[in-house]
Amino acid sequence: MLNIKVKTVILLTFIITTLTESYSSALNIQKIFNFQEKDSIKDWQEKIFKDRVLYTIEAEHTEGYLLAESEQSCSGLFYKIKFDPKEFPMISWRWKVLKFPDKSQVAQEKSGWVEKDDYAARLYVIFPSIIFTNTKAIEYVWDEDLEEGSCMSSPYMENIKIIVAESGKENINQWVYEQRDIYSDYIKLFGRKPPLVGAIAVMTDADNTSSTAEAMYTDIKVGYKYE
Amino acid sequence: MNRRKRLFANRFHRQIFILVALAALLPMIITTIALYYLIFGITASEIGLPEIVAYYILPAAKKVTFIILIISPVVIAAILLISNRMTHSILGPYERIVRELDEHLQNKRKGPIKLRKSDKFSSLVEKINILLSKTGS
Repeated sequence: MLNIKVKTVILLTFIITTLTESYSSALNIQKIFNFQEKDSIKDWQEKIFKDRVLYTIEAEHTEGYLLAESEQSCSGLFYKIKFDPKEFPMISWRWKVLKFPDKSQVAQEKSGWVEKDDYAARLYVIFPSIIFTNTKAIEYVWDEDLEEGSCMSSPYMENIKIIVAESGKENINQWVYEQRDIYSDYIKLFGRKPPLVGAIAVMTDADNTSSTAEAMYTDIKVGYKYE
Repeated sequence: MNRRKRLFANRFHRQIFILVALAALLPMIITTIALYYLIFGITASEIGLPEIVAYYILPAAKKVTFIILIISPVVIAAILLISNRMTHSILGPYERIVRELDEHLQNKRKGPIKLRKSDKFSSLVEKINILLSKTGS
């Protein structure tokens, strides 16, 4: 017969194994947002910075997409999702820019970077922290002028890093597919391994340039390994 | 003889000082945690988008940090200094009264107990001195 110590060890091992499995399966979320249904954004939270951007679900042929129309406004759609980027580092999406915010005016009038911090389309990957000042984010943007592949810090906070995933007007009005390795990007930008991802978000804004911007998003896929 | 000025008159004095120090520090620590975790942290988590957090929450958090790191230590140091002086003026004479009464009881001293003008317990010492004069000590 097993003595009490052995029984305790077996019981603890079982509890730890079960908890670990349920924890990792809870983080094992592959999610695809193809915006096929009219209520596809009901689980996305609207976050308003300066006035509302109009986010609507539209359809092109049989494919659904999220249309964002900004008129001197800045707000985003935010989706909480937890996964380990070390295990599931990939994120992909398709986007189409219909109109870029007009930066030509501010470029002449103001030299500040905040004034130019408008992008026709951007996708966030957010890494929350218990200490909120340590929260980090990667923003993948499509900008008219900045060089593709360039990286920089946001004018608002050092912990927000911007990667120009797509650049220029060459592909305007066309669907462009992007796939990024969050894990590698995080290490490249912050110089250390990433914590858990806590949310993703999309935003189209034109508030700083006091102009208008329009973009479409679809097939956002997160929490998967390289295929 | 060169007497070294002691920070604490006795153990009781030190205990009171520690109590005052804790009474000043603990609420500050609890308030700081509450502010950062319960107010800033939760608000930031609700706001979600990092730019909005950076724009609205960070400036407030920086001001609070400034107050906590720069102003609070000064205020706490002042509280401790004042409390140290106050407890000194209470516990210094108390210790002397006990010591002199002991000397009276051991017939090593005659006459009234003397206090400095600023010392507390003058009414008590007055009555003890009357009692001492009645007993002829």
